[in-house]
Amino acid sequence: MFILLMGWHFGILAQEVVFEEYDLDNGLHVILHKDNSAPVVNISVAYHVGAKNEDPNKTGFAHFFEHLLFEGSKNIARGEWDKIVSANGGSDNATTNQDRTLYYVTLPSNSMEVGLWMESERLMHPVINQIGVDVQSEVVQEERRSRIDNAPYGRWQEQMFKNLFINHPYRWTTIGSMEHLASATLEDFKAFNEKFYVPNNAVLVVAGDIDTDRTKELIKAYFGPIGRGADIERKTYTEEAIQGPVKARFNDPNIQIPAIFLGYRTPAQSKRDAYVLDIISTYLSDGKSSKLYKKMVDEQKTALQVFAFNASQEDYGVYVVGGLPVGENSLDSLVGQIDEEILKLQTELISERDYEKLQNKFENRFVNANSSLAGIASSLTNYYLLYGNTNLINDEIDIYRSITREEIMEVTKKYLNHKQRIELEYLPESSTAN
Amino acid sequence: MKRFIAFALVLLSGLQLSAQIDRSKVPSPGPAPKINLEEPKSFTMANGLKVLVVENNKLPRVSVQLLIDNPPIGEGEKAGVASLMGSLLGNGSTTISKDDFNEEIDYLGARISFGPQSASANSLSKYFPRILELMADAASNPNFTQEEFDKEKAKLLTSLKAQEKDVSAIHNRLQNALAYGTDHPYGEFLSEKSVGNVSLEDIRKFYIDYFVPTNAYLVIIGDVEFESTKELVTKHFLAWTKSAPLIFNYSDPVNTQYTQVNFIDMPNAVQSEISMQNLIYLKMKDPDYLAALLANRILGGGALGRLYKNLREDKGFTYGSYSRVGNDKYAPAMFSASASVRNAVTDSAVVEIMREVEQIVKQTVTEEELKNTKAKYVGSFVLALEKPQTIARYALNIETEGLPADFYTTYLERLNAVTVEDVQNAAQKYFSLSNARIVVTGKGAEVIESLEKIPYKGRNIPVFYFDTQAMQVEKPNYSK
Repeated sequence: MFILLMGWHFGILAQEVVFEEYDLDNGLHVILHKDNSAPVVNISVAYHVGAKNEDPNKTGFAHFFEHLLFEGSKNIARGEWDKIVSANGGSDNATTNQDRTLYYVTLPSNSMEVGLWMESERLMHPVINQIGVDVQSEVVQEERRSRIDNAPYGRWQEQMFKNLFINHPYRWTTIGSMEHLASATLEDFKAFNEKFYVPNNAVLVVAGDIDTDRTKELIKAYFGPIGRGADIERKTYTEEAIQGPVKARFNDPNIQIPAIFLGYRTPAQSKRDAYVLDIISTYLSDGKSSKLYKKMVDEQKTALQVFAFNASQEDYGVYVVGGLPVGENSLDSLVGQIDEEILKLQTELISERDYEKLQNKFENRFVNANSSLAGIASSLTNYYLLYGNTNLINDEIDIYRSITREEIMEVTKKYLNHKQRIELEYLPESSTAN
Repeated sequence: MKRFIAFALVLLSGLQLSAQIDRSKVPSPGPAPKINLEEPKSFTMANGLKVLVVENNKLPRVSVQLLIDNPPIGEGEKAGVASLMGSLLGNGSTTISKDDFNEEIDYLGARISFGPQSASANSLSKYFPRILELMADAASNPNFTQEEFDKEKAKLLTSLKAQEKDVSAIHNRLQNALAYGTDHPYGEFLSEKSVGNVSLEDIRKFYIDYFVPTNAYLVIIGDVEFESTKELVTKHFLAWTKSAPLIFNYSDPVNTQYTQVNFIDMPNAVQSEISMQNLIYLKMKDPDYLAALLANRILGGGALGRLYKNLREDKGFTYGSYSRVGNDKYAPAMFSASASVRNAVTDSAVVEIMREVEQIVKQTVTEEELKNTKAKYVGSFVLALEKPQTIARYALNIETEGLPADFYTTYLERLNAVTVEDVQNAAQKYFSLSNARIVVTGKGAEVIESLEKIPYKGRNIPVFYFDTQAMQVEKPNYSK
């Protein structure tokens, strides 16, 4: 048995993600990760622009613009983009959030050059015309209906964030408002492109089955000639502490079971305290033996579901804890049960065994985070662009390992203060209170 | 010497290199990558459990999946018994308490979960032996208690209630219920009443009748070594008693006699869910399986599909419109072409979906479409090689779907051989124009008037009305 176990330990050394990074003269940051185990390559370009860079009267623009950048370029006619990707056996998409916009394609590695060409075309000279704006305006409004307006619990985030943030653009959602989407003009997008879609605001990651030298040559050939843009002025927004608790209420016509969401504003994701909050949410609700699950779902049977998570973002995070009641249990009773556990965290150290459990969970998560090329590419992008430290892909686990039980107590006291939270009662349409 | 000079030039000037690319056209791909398909190692236990092992030590982790490939099970008056049984599994065993079981899994940073006919686990490889043992124990020696049963029942009833205003959940339920009938295992669904009928004794019986190793597969992937894994599995799954599942009889469902709209009113809907569907007999081992996949993909697979191009990129009706073609070795599968669209364009979207289905049935696709679509499949086949799960999935399909052993090694060759005529034949065989059921779930007050006026073959397509429980009703009076 001992020998067997030794065998299973083997391999832990193999997981370091090896990469190299450099800048082109125009400011484009490049990260390469070589892994020749399968003939697959993942190419992504992320731009440091998201919903938080929008004009408050034009919300939803960053994401709308992401749609428009599939319309074509000087050398790729409208309607050809998807054909080229498919003809090369690739699979592509893009995502926009509050902080960044990411375009990615996975291809058989013999078509790597096609991917580089397409991404450089998108950055160098995209073609955006009125017909694209008109159609995508409708498409994005349908996306909003599908994801938000027709979906059960689809609007909790919008309701929570508008209460948590007063000054910061995090107060509006990435999908934006229907009115703003409908009124977007071609000129708005041209200005947005000129300002944010410049090489000095982007990071290119090429991961997978590559020949490093040839990849560098091609990157220089395709992206090198693109002109550098003006430096981007980044605004900072500060929020005063919440004076509360602030009670909010929303009626969702798509639900039958109410939900309670308790929201706290937390520090930027790169701060150590944000990592501590990740650990706290795992302690509270990850797994059947976690404190809130065991107590509320398993033993006292008051909740259908409980959740606690730390939504990490570049400037401020949002910590949310809540649940859905079973049967006639009231939302207030759920809040009471949640608060008991938070109070314990604020006044007692967690047990040694629970501490070890958390370490094991984070080790497992770390191993799984680097299990696909797309996952590795997206981590490299985020750590460079939003944390300013690409090495976190290998080192972040050390931060979690170094967090002490005392810090967990301190951070809970500091941020999970019930007077500084939003209490959002998310209710079915007919109901007024619980 | 020449090579050296070239190298120096590279260092001196990037412009030399830029000259080598031509932006005006798509770069040509390099030579196609060589594909090596490995096979998992396998063995069969005396109780019937078949075990597949994929050794992959890239990361220090292991995943385990247990799948029981039984024929469809009808739950009838007690619909909900399967789901409840699944949620009662994985609560410890007759030898380890629920709390100790849950605590140990979490402590090891691992996960174990159960379904009515499945289980899965993942862990770091150093804890794999213990996790496998816990999983096997919970699967072979479950402890069904009244207390857990009552709790899971209360949760299930609450979740059922939670779905009642979920437009897409109701639509999916009705799609199956209307296609198969509510007496068929694929068409039945849970209700407050049927869940209420289930007792703890039913759970025990369901477990004994169906959670059995005869048609079961255990797939282990990751940082393991075959021989020692075989020993572990053999030891821990020994207690799982050999037994075959109860066979459930049901009648075959049939397609509608003529094309019709089936409408379900959801007053809270801001989008209509539309699915044009029909039942098909298609198995993976059928000779026209790949032709059917290609026809479906050209019609409605992803961003290149005609549905997406028409309903999204041309009309702006929807965030996405897609079709899918199922396959099933036990019963008819379903073909459906779907979209979620804003209320105002519901009738127009139905017309466009019908137009696209008609087009692909009546006219051959272009050579270019077929070429690009094949390329997409070739690409997906290559991209799938990145995951160690792929070779396990292939081996499992060969076994469970009765495929020839070279199904995947000849896959690309057979794909390449499909012609535009093959695609049209498959479209004609599997996509129905005259026996289609067009299921629409939406806000009656805003959409029904125009939906009743969709012309087809010289008259309006008949509309039938259903409630959310799949019962046909008279046309309701939708007040605005």
